[in-house]
Amino acid sequence: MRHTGNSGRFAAVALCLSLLAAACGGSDDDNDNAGGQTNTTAAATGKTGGVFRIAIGEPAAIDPYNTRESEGTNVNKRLFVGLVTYDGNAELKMRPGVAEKWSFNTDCTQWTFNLRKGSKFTNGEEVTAKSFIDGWTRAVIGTAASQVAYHLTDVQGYKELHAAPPTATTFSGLSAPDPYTFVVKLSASDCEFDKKTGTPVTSPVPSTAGDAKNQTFNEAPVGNGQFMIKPGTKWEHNQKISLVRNDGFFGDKPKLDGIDYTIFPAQGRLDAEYRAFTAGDVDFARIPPALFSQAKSTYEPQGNFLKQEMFGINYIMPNSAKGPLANADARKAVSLAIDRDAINKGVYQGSLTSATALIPPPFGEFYQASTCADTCKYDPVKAKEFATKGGLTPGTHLKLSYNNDGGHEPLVQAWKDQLERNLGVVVDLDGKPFAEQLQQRDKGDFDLARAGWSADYPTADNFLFPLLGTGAEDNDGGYSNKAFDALITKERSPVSDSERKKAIQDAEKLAVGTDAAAIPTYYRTQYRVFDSKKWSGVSLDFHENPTLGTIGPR
Amino acid sequence: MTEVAPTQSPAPAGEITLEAGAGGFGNVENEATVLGIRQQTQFGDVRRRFFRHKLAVVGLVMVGLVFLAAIASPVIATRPPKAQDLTNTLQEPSSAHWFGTDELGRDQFSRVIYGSRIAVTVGLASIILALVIGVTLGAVSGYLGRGWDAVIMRTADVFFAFPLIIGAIVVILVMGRGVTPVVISLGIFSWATIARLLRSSILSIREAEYVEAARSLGAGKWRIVTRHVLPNSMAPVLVYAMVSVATAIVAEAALSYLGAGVQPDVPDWGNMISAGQKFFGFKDYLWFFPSMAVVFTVLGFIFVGDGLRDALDPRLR
Repeated sequence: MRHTGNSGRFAAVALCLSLLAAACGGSDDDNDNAGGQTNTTAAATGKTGGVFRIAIGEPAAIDPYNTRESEGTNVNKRLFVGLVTYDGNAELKMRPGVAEKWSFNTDCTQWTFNLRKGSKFTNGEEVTAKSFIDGWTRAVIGTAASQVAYHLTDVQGYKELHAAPPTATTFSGLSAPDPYTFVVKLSASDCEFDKKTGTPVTSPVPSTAGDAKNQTFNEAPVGNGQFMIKPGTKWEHNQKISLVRNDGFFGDKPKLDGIDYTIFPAQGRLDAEYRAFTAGDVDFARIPPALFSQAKSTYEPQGNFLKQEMFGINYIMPNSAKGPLANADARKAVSLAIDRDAINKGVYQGSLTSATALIPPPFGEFYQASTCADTCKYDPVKAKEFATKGGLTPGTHLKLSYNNDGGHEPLVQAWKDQLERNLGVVVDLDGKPFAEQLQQRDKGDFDLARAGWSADYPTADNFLFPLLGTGAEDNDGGYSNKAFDALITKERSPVSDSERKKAIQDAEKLAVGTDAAAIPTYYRTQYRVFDSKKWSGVSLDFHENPTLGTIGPR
Repeated sequence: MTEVAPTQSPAPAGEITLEAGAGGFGNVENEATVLGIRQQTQFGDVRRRFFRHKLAVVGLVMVGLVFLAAIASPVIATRPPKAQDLTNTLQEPSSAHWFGTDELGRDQFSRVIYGSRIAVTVGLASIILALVIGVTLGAVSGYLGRGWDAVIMRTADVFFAFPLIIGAIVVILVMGRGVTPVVISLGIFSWATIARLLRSSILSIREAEYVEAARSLGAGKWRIVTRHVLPNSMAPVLVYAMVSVATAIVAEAALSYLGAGVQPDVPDWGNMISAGQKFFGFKDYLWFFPSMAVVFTVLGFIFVGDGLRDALDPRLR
């Protein structure tokens, strides 16, 4: 789960949290900029060499056991490759990683991964099934206090190992009949489990990794990826992280000699990052929303402007469990009272796309533009009708929770104005740093919350169950509908692709269309600037990071 | 912050001069008037010297304008300060919008004008609060001395140890954002200097001959403090308070700038500077006008404070 703290374009202020946000769930930086075209064609022509300089915020962690937000993921994915990978592109495509091939039983509860032989960690140790067992166990064990262990919730033995204190010391669902066969047993059907095995927490670790508290490994993890921590250095907190190419990598060798991450302070990070780019101090940057038009007009004609639709959504999370918005009609009134297009034009300089679905367009066949087309548009008259039906009377106080470190102030003020004007309610703004806002949301102490979500893995399920499933960890709005839960169970069970697709689409229609338990606002369009005269092969990967595996000097 | 030396104030009875003009108010009928000699009160004297101080007068006019803007905001502002117009965002200054419009299409001029209300309210209220606490504790500490003095002054030391803004942020984290928390937080982190100033001033005055005289005439403690000691020790405190209003206004703007002051939709100079800073370099009007408003107001209070100090200081007479 990655909540994103930044809502997209605004991010001016606080990205640290946004890091969190981003990383954690979504990255927040959605904001990045708008732009232009993707330059995938350039990749083929790149030469070898060069050091690519990137600005990031202080990561929460780069050790796979707890890598959870955008900044840490950026570094971690360079250092580690899991069973599968979707790092090299921003498509809904998964490729073999350490696993060459894999298979599953009829009810999708047992998965067998066949690992490639001879792939090595950068310390020379071979990557075997044991490396995965070590990595997963190390992350899930209760004493590690990992915030991303939940990705493996459905693996047998998770409960015992993850308990605090743990009642088991081994992960009973994992086994290695031989060094190159890794078997995972699940406690519930999940026919898309393979797609989850590219997320950082599922990385293999060498036998020298120790437990999660091993500070040496936390700050200079030894991995099996395209790059490695520059020998003799480590993560210098709030300063920098330097990587060099791993010449022993089993797959496509990267072109770059190295990557220099400069860590910028949270306050005003996005601004600083962009200004560093304009000053020539970094090679790649996100764009502060306020500077979007300026960046676009300057860099688009030069071909230095990157625009990509990403796997994320910005939405309003209503409190469906209690308070004035427990009624679906009241939630629809909120959705109808907000003028997404006017805010996009006025505040975001037209860089966003108004959303009418929770599962965003890059999901291709799963995407349904009509999910909430009736209510995800501006119609103050209908809004009033729904408010009356839903008992949302004028004068009702609505607490709007947002993170005040992501530059969302203009957005929430526009919402407040429109809701108050169109519905006669009173909106109380409640801004907190991202980490605190997440805690507040966990407690259900809000009526409306600004929220963002980025995919952890390329599955549509990742947009539905975590956010709307009964009791799911990130379902802070407390939505609960048995029919929805049944559709999720069905979609996860061994059914045909067309049945799975239908179950997912029906579930989305039900929760987002009929019940308005999530109010989509904008799709997650990302923008970046870079120097196309100097670098080729630049685009964004699934995690919204630059495709560092294909970038090379011109 | 201006260092103010405790001063020996003149005796409370009106000073008698032969100078004509400047008929003070609060003249007390006494022998002097009967004799045809214009009596000049202490207050009249101070006022005369204050108005001879050019910068002080300029400061007074500046402060007056800010008060006028605060009181008459609805009349002066051209639009409601919170009215958004998403079709007219980020407009350069023009005849329709003198200071341009912000990200939400709100009229910057109207917001700057309304911003004076927060500045004046927070500036005055927080210093009045600081005065109430500081004068009470300072008087107790200075006049009663002993254990009281030790406890109060050590407490003051604790408050001195907190930088104003950091202390205020801590209080606001507990109380939530808004005008009242800002006033309270600035007030409770500003009283210590006032208490100290007053204490040292009282220490010298309570040994003065006229106090001794009052005591020997049988005046009670309370009467001596309120009628003789306090009025004569207040001068440095008042000067300091005037300059502190400026400090409080800057502190409030800083808090809002940091996102810890008033709510973001409230028209407030700190909020406006915060929202405008990301446009630094190409839409500079967004932060320039609210910044100038802060500078103008703060300078006004400092000029007045300076003039007041010069006017109250007998050595400059």
